[in-house]
Amino acid sequence: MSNETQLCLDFGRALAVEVAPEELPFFDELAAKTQSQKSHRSDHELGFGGEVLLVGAVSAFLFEASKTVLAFLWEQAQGMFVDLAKTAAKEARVEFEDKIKTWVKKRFEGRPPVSLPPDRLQNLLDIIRKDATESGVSEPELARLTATLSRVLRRP
Amino acid sequence: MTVSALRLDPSQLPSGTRERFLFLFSTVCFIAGWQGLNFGPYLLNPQFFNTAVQLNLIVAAILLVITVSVFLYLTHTLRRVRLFGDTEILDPASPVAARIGELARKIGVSVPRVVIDRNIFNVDAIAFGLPRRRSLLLGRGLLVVHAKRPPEFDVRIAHELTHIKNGDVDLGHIARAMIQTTKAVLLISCFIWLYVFGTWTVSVWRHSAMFGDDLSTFLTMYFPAAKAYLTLALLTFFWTIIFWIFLLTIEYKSFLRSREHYADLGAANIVSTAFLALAIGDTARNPRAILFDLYSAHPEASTRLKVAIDPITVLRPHLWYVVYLGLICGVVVSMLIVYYQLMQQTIAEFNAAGAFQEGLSYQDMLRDPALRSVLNWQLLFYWIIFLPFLAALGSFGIRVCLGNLLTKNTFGKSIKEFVLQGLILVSFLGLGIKISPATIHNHVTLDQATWKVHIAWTGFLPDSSIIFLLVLFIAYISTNLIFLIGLRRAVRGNRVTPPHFVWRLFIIALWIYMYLQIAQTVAVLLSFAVQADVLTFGDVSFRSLFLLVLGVFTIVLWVMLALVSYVVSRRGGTASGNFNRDRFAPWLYIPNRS
Repeated sequence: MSNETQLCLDFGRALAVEVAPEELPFFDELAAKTQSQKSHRSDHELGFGGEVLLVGAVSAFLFEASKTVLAFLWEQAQGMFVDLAKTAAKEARVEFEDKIKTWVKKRFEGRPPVSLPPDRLQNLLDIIRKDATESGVSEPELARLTATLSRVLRRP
Repeated sequence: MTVSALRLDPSQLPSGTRERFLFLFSTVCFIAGWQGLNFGPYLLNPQFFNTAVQLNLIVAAILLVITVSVFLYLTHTLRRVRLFGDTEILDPASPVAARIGELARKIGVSVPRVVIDRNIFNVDAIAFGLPRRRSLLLGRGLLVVHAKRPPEFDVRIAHELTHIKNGDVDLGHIARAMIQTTKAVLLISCFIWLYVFGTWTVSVWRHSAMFGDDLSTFLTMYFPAAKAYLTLALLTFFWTIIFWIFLLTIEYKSFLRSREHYADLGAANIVSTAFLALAIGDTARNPRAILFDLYSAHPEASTRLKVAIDPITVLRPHLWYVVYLGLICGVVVSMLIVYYQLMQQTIAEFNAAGAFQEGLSYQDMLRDPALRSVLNWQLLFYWIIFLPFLAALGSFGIRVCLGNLLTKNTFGKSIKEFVLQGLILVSFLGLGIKISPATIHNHVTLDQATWKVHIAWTGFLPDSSIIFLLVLFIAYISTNLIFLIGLRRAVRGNRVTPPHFVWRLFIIALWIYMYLQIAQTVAVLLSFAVQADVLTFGDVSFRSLFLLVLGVFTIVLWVMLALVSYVVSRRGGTASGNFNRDRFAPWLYIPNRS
């Protein structure tokens, strides 16, 4: 697993603590299999039948949302060291990831490694909302997610 | 408690489960017997072949199917546990196991062993296992459901536990084993036919080579004969295979679908209808085609919800069920005629062997131990195998009557429904007789001189069958009307909890009555064929004696029905204020969990 994926998983897990704590024990499993699952009906004799694909779990979406958030943050951070040489940029990326990691470990305590301006934050939240609606995330969970992101990314 | 807070408890009503299972069992036995009758001769030396041997082949084939089915049932746990792939046993100390234990106690079953698969997205569950060793196989996704939406988890588990409580795990898996075995027998029959055909081809080739014929001469001789044999096989054999598999599968799947409704109702009673609806899923999405629906082990989501909301609808059978009930009964009747002819043939063979003089009485025949044994076997075979078909029809009629009463159908509407069902039933019963493999087998012949296959269209449906269908139709409607009138009084009684045995006795009496009504029609049909001079008890013919016993039995049942109906409807009456007097049978209702 790449550092980037691991970081997304950590970030998503930290979001899950706020948004859907009941899914935490299964977060890695749910996030890992997002791509391969398709909805289907079961017709096993003496089974329950009907739709047998787990619906309503938000972990997979949180993992995807983490990718979007981190991409936004990285894009914002890149603007700060646009003139750096290639090797220095690589080091900056590693440093950025470390900072994010520490921030995630502290459950978003303190300042975020990169602050998003209000219009960019709004932009990010709009994208997340759109994706969440398409993914069928429930209203209360979406509300908790946007509230969490607004709170942790808006810090001065 | 207000009326709106009550819902019907279908467990108080006859579900027809055992009758339908026995119905399936009988069908399987008939198919096995038929295959034994037709393919056994290929495995035997013609020198030792006679009717008694044919009868033994029928019994042997049935016993073989039963033995293999029992083996498959006893080992089903080994296969079902791997249905979702790799599994592990759920920690009994986990909260999920604890919740399953609580639900099991609430439903009244012993806590099953729980195994869980590795697919986090699978939220299906399956009940299986032998008595005292029940198991639940859960999709791992149910752990997430338990954490996120506990009532939905409860619904899914309660549904499975209700399957265990209702005995579906045993009946369902035995039925599955019987279907699998029968399909295997049919497949093996295909191989036997191919083997015989191949052997015949080789012998024709050798015969041709012996006379020094070249290939073109052989082909000129071989093709017309091969074509004729193939046509004969298509009409009398391969058609049979398709016909049996179709009939068996739709009856088996229909049986399973009815059990799903009862499991849903159990889950709705324990948790709630709303959460059951949530678990069943989107009812409007991807509606299924009718044929797919017939082959499905679960009813359509919208039908499941309809029954969960209004449990009385479970008593109202789908018209499709009437169609294949009639079809299967028709096939069975035609086969009974074949087996009856075999019995006649046995008697003729004994006569031809000089064992008896012409015109001997039934008692005379029974003095010969060998003939007595054969006849007893056949009579036993008739009644044991045919009784479930009568039971299925009887229980069907009772459920229809109860459904009419509890939905307060008007008398006119009820009659209309009975007439429609009766017409469909007898029409397809007639069709079943006509397209039955047994009938076709008797009407398709091969002329080996010209290599032409002849189908005798005349006499395809025996004259007596029309009378039989008419009698059955009248019996079905009249019996249902008698039920409706009889039940009305009993079901209207204001007893809160009637003595269970009285209700059961009442229902059993009704069932027996229904059996006799239908048995009478069958007896009328058979009496056309029975030779009065052969089957006699002293000076009284078998037919007269049978009708006399039937008449006395009917009067006794009428008295019994009247007494039980009186007891159920008049005693008690201490529940005033606890229910709305307009509602029938308050003891059939339980608190509603919407």
